[in-house]
Amino acid sequence: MPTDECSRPSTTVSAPNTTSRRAFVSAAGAGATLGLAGCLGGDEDDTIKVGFVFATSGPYSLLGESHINGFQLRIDEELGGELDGREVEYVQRDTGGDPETGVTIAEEFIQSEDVDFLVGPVSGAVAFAMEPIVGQYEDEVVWLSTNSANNDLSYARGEYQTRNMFLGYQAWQLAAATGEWVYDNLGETAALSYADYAAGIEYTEDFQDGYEEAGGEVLGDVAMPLGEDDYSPYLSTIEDTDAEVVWSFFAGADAVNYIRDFHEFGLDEEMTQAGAAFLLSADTLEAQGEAAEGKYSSSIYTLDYESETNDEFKSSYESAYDTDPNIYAVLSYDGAQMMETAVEETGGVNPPELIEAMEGMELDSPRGPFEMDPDLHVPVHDVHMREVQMDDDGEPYNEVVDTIESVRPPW
Amino acid sequence: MSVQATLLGLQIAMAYFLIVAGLVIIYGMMDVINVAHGSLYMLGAYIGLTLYDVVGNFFVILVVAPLLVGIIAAGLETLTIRPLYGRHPLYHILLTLGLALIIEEVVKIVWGVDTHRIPTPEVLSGQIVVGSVNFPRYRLFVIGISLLVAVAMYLVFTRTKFGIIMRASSSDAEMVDALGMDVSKVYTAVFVAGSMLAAFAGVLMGVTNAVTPTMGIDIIIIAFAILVIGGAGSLLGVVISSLIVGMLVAYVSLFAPAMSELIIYLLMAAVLIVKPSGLLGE
Repeated sequence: MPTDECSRPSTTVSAPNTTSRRAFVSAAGAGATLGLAGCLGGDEDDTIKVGFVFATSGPYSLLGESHINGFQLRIDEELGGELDGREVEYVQRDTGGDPETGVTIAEEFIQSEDVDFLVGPVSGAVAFAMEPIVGQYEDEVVWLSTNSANNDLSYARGEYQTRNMFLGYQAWQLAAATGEWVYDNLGETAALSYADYAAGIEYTEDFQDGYEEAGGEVLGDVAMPLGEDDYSPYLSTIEDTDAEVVWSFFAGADAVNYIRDFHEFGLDEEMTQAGAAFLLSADTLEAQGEAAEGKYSSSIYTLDYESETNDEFKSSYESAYDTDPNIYAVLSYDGAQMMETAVEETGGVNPPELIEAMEGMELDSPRGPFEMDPDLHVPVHDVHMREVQMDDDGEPYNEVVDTIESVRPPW
Repeated sequence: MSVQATLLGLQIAMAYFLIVAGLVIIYGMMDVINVAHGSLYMLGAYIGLTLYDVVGNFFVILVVAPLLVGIIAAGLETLTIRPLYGRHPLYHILLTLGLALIIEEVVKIVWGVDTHRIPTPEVLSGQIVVGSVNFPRYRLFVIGISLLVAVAMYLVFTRTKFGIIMRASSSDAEMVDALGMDVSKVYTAVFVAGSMLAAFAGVLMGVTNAVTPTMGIDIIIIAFAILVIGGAGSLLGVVISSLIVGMLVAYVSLFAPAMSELIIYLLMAAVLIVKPSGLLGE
């Protein structure tokens, strides 16, 4: 379907048939360059178009919705739906967490919908599949990958010099960078336990590197099947290491099960539990209950992090959506802030200019102030070390006990 | 021998047994392969969760949630399964698979996709020293109460009039009908009883395992494996296969974590090749 800004020129340039000119151009398979010349024209748009590539069904649906809420909170609620005098409009399609679908949606958004910004996805697998495809349209679209930023994506960025902006956290930042802190504060020997799949292995290896570099000794590790619903049979392997600390990677339901089993068997009386953010996050703490108390995790956003920006963000989010924000909302809120600043600075939506403006950009985020690394295109942000404590109603929450400042991956 | 792994194996076995027992009596009596059995287990956990918010007492919900699931099961049996009696078993599989998918979606709509757990009851929290190890009090309770249920089941089957009618209906439904018993009522009762066992297990396991919309499908796969290993229709067979699988899970997790699920299906494949009717099946 022709968009507003495209249908107008198509009335002056007579198309060969009833098909709109844009549809003709993309059908001719020459979408990339012709599309830019004929239709985008960079600065002539009077709207800014954003395409959301998120899973809004399936296990990641809550995450996808939070991302969209966070983005729209900044643009629609706080800025009245306008940037630099232009209206911001959205298109949205559900990836269902499927890489193929994600790629198809991204291509359609770029070719047919003529979006200026792609925002999403949640899943690392989807982002990885999108990377080479979106890379072909670098002069037409800015990709704000607001969630996924596993190490490989920023490695890839280093290798191919793609323009995509990764707003999320890197495995390295949440794991390797915390090794020294764990060694200094929690214990000099550690056992590792993790969900046996790509992310679990990546985070755990990163942590082991950082921990051993700091002088720590890893006494044993146990990989547990992803989606396990009873961790008790594995726990005595951890216990038998007699390590001071056990560092873990589990997320979602796995994190709930693991933490509760750990507590049920009384292991927290013998060793200190620590892990990456997801182990003890806002979406698991309620189900973990008192079992979470006294356990540590690393994160780049904490609901109870004290700053003026975060306070304002929280009350703004609550009044718009009637619920507490989560890390995913923050990531896309920051994506919107970056888009806002870059559009205002460059006075247009020309992708190469926008990307240049975003490189090295400093943002005052609810997660804390950070800078977009000009080379890696990832945030150089603070990592919060948090301990779960119980509030007056006996509900667990994360208290930031320390901050590791400006963490940048070393590659 | 590890005391901890043995106790755990026993506890896991007992929980499996409660689920598979329901599956076995429904199959044994009614010739229905109930794929939705895991979903009734899940409903037990979710209804228990919601009831817990209302009454706040674990032991009350352990009784009430299965009763409520029993009512739902009665409705399902009467409205959907009954019209298909006498058809090829494939119809039952397709129908109950459909029911399982519907229940899963309904659960997602009503309770969402988040992970929950039923809180451990205060009197059963913490650990008890057993020999040389600490073992969670609650899991010992699961072993104990499951044993009680197993003994009660045995007594119902062998010592009560209801048990005799059930067994009679299973071996010759027409004769029981001719003697003036309403066999369809017996079938409903069997289906409800099996479903209540599943729901009971759901509440018990909702404390130690996560309550999620996929727990029904997850458990039914293992339950079928145990059924196949033990011998479909043989209650004693599934007692033995539950114990074998429980112990395997506990011990293999200790020595070869990556193998702990695979081993169940390897065993099932081996049984199917060597003795397709299962350990004690006919």
